[in-house]
Amino acid sequence: MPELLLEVGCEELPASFVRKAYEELAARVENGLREVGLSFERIGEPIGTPRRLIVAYRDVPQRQPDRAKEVRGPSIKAAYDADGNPTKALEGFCRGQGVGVADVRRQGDYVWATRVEPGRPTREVLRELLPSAITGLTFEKAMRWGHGRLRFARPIRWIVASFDGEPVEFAIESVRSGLSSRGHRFNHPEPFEARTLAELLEGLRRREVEPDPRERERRIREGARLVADGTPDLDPSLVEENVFLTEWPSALQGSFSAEFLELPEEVLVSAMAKHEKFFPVRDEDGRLTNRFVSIRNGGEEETVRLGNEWVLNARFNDARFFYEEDRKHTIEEFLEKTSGIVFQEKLGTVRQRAERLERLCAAIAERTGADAAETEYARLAGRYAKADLATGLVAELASLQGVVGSIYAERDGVPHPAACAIGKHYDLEKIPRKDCEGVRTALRLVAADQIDKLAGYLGLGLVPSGSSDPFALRRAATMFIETAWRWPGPFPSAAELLWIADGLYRGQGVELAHERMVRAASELFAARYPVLLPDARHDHLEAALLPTVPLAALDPCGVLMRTQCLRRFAGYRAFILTATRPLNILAAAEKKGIPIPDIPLEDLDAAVLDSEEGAVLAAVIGEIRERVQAAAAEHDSDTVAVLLDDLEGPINRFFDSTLVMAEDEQVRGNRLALLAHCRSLLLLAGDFSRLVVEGA
Amino acid sequence: MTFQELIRRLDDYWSAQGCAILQPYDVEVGAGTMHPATALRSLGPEPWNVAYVQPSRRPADGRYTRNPMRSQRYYQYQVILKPSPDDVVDLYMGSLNALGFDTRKNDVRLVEDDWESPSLGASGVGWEVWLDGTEITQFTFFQQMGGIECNPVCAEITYGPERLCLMLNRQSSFWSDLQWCDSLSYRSAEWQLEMQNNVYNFEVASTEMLFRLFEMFEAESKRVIETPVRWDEETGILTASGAEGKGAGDPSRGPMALVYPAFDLALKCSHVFNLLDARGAISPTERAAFINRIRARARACCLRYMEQYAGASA
Repeated sequence: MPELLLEVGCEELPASFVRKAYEELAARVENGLREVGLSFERIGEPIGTPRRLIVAYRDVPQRQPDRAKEVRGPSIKAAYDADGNPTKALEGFCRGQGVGVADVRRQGDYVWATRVEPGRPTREVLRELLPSAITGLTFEKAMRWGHGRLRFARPIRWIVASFDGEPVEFAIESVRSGLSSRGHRFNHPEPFEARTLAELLEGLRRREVEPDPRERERRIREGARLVADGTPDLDPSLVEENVFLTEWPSALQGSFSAEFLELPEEVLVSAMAKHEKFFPVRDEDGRLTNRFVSIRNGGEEETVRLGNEWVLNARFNDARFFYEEDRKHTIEEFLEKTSGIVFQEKLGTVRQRAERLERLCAAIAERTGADAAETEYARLAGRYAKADLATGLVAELASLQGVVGSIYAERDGVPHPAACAIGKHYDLEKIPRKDCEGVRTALRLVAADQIDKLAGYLGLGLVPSGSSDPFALRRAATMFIETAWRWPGPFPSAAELLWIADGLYRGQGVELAHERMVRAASELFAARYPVLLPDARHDHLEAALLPTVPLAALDPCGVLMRTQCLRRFAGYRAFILTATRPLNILAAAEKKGIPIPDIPLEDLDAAVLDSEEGAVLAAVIGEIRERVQAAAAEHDSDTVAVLLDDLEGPINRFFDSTLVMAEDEQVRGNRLALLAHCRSLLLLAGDFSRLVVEGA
Repeated sequence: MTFQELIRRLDDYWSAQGCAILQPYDVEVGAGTMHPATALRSLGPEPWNVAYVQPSRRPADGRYTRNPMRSQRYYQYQVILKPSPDDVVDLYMGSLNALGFDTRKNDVRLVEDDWESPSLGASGVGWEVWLDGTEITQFTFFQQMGGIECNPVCAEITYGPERLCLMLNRQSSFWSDLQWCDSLSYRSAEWQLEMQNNVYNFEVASTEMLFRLFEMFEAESKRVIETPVRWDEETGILTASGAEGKGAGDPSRGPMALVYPAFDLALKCSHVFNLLDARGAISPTERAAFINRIRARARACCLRYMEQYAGASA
C-alpha cells in the first residue's frame, strides 16, 4: 500500500529543538491519521537535522474508510402519528440524513438513523492534516518572519509532501509543498526530487547530508577517536549538541599554542567545550594536551583547522588577559565587589546573598553533624561561593562560574574543602559520590544555595507556572532533593531551612511572605518526586507524601524512606488493609469534628479502654515506639517496616473485638487516643490509606 | 584585506542587492540598532532595505587598548531588510563570499542566539553566525521594537568589521595588525581616541554632571515628544506654532510629533547612562530603574512614530 513522506525544511533550528520537533511532528501526524481512521506503519523512526524534520509511513490506504455515524432523530412520539405512520418530522429528518423512512431504528425514546459518511481520498485528507500537523508544532521559543503570522522555531523554507509518489499540495506562509528537497547548504544547494523516503535518504546522502542522528553520532564518536592523537573527552551532551549542529559531520584535530596550558584546566576545557563545541584531547595519563577535536559540517579540512586554531588562540588570549587582570585582586576584594551586582531587585545584591549563604551553610553544618573545622569550611564556602561573579574571567566566560571562584579562593588561602565545594556547587554531577569533608561541604553549599534562592523567589510570589520557570526554581527544588538524598544520613527538611533563610532575609530588611513560600515550595517539591523517582508507584508516592501532614513534601529523606517502606509492604495486602483501619476511622472522626484527646500512652490501660485487646495494642505500641522512631530518624526503612509489622495482629484483634466509636464519650475518646498513637507510628512508613489495594 | 576595503566590499555587495547605503548616525549609540534607520524604520509596513556603518560606543568595554580585540569605540556594519526576504540567509551567505571567504571551504554555521535590548524595548530571534568557530555576525529577526510587535518582520544583520578583517588576514590585534588602508594603520587612526576616551570614561568623566545631563535629556525628550505640532498647508512645513492638541499622523506627512528629536534625546540618555555605568556610579538597584526610564522615552517615540500608520492598518 502507498507510502507517505513528509520533510519540513527550515533555516537552522536551534540544536536543542530538533529531536523534540521531529518526535512531536511524528506524533501529530500519527494522531491525525488515527483520528480520520487511516492506518499506517512507521518506516524507521522520525529523524532530522538542524535543517529538516523527516517522518515517513508505509501502508497508508488510498481512501479513508467509510464511517458509519449514528444520528438521533425526532422522539418516537413526534416521529409517528397515532396510526404508526411516519410524520412530516420523521420524513424531514430522513431526507436530511439521506436514509429511507424504513431504515430508521427505534431506541429509547427516539428514532435513530445510521448515516454512512463516505471516506475521502487520502490525498485530500492529507492536504489538511499535514499543514496542521506542521503549524501546530510547539517550541520553547518561536518567531515570525517576513509578512507571515505563523510562529515557528525558524523560517520554513521547503516542504516535501509525497503520497503514493505524487505531491500532496498545500502551502504554509509563502512555502508551497512539493517533491523538492535540498542537500547540504553550501555544497549542494540545488533542489532535487524525492517521492519516497528511500529516494530522499539516498538523495540526501549523495548531497552530503546524513539525516539520521544515530549515524551522525556514530561518525562523530568514531571520527573523534580516529583523528585524536590521545583520548578525546566525548562528553555525551557535547556529542548530542554536535549531532544537531551538523548535517554532514566530520572530525578534525587541531592544536593551540602550548603556552596556554598554564591557564587553569577548567578555563581551557570550558573555552573549548562550552564556547567552541570542541572536544579536548588528553594524554595517556589523563592530562590535558594542547590538542582538540572539532566537528566540522563542511568546508575544507585545512582551512577549517586553521580557522579553529585561530579562534581558540584568540579566546585563550582573551581568557589569559582576564586571568592576569584578576590575579591583581584577592578573593576578598571580589567578594566586596559583588555589592555591585544585583541578585534580584527586591532580594538585594550578591554581596548580601553571600552573607546569607555564609550563615545558612553554617546552620546546615550544625544540623548535619559537622565538627568545628567542617562548620568553618561550610561557612567559608558560603561566604565566597558567589565572589567570582565579580571577576573578569567569569564576566567573560560565564560558564566558568564556581570554577574560577574555587581557583582564586584556594590561591588566597581558603581551605581546600571549602574551595573545592565552591568549584562544584553549580552541578551535582561534578560532586564525587564519596564521603569526605570536601564532598560534605559541597553538598551543604548546594543545599544552602538552593534554599536561599527558593526562599527569596517563592517568598516574593515568583512561582513557576506551566512552561514558565524563568528563575529555574524547579531545578532548584530538584537539586535540593538530590542533595538531601546524596547525604550520608538524614538531611534537614527544607521546611526548617526555609524558615532559617527567611530569618536571614528579614535580618537584611527583606520581608517575605512565609506562608506562601512554604506552600509554594511544598507544591514544587511534591511535583518533583514523580520525576525523580520514575519507578515508584503513583499511589506509593502519594502515600509517602503524607497528604494530611503539612510540609511533609519538604523533607526529601522522609519521602524517600517512606517510599522504600511502602515498597516493602507492596505485596502485603493484609497488612495494608489492617494499617488502613485506624487511619480511616480517625480521618472519619476528624471529619465529623469528634475530638481526639491527647492522652499519654502509659495511661491507656485495659480499664480506661475497656478492652483487653486495646491494652495489648497499647503495650505493643509502647514496646516498639522508640525503636521505630529512632529507625525512622535514621531513615532505616528496613527496621521501620519490620517493627511496624508487629502491629498487624494487635490492630486487627482490637478492631475485631472492640467498637471504637463507643456510646460512652469517655471510652470512645480513650480508644481514639490509642489509635492516634498507632497512627503516628504508621505514618512514619506512609499514609497507608492512600494505597490502591487490588480487590479491596 | 584592509578595513576600508572590507567596508567597501560590503557596501558594494548590499548595494547590488538593492540596499541604500546610508551613513552613520551622528549621535553616540551603543550599537547600529539604535540608529533611527533601524530603531524607528524597522517599524511600520513599508519596505526598507538599507546598510550602513555605525561607530558604536560602549564605555564599559574599554580596556585601555590592552585587549587586542576589544575597545570602547568600534564599528558595526549593519544591514536591515524589511520585510525579511525568504532567501535572506542565502543573501547573507553571498556577502561572505564577496568578502573573500569561501562558504565551500570555510565551515559556516548558524548557531541559535536570541537578542534583546532592554533600553529599546526590542527583542528578536536568530543566530550568531560562526565561521570556522568564530562568531562573525549577529543575525536577528526583529519581533519587537519599542515594545511594539514588528509587522512585517525585518532581518537585521550585524557584522563586526574589525574582527572580520583580522580573521581574513589571520591576524590577532586591532592595535598591532589592522590596516585601515595601505597607507594608514587602524592604530594611527584610532589609538589616541581610544586611549584618551578610556581615561575619560573610567577616571575623569564628571558623574555629577552626567547625572544632571541624564535628567535634562530625559526631561527634554519627554517635553519634545509631547509638544504638539501641526502641518501648515499654506507654507508646507511642520510647525509647533499654533498647534493645539496632538494631531494624528498621515503616511504622506509622518506622525504629528517630533519623533526624531525626542529619539535623539533618548539616545543621549542612553549614552550618558553608559558613561555613568562605566564610572561605577550607578548602584545595582538603580540600574534597572535607569534602563526603564530610557526604555520609556524610546517607547514613547516608537508609539508616536507608529501613528502615521494608524489609518492604514484600520
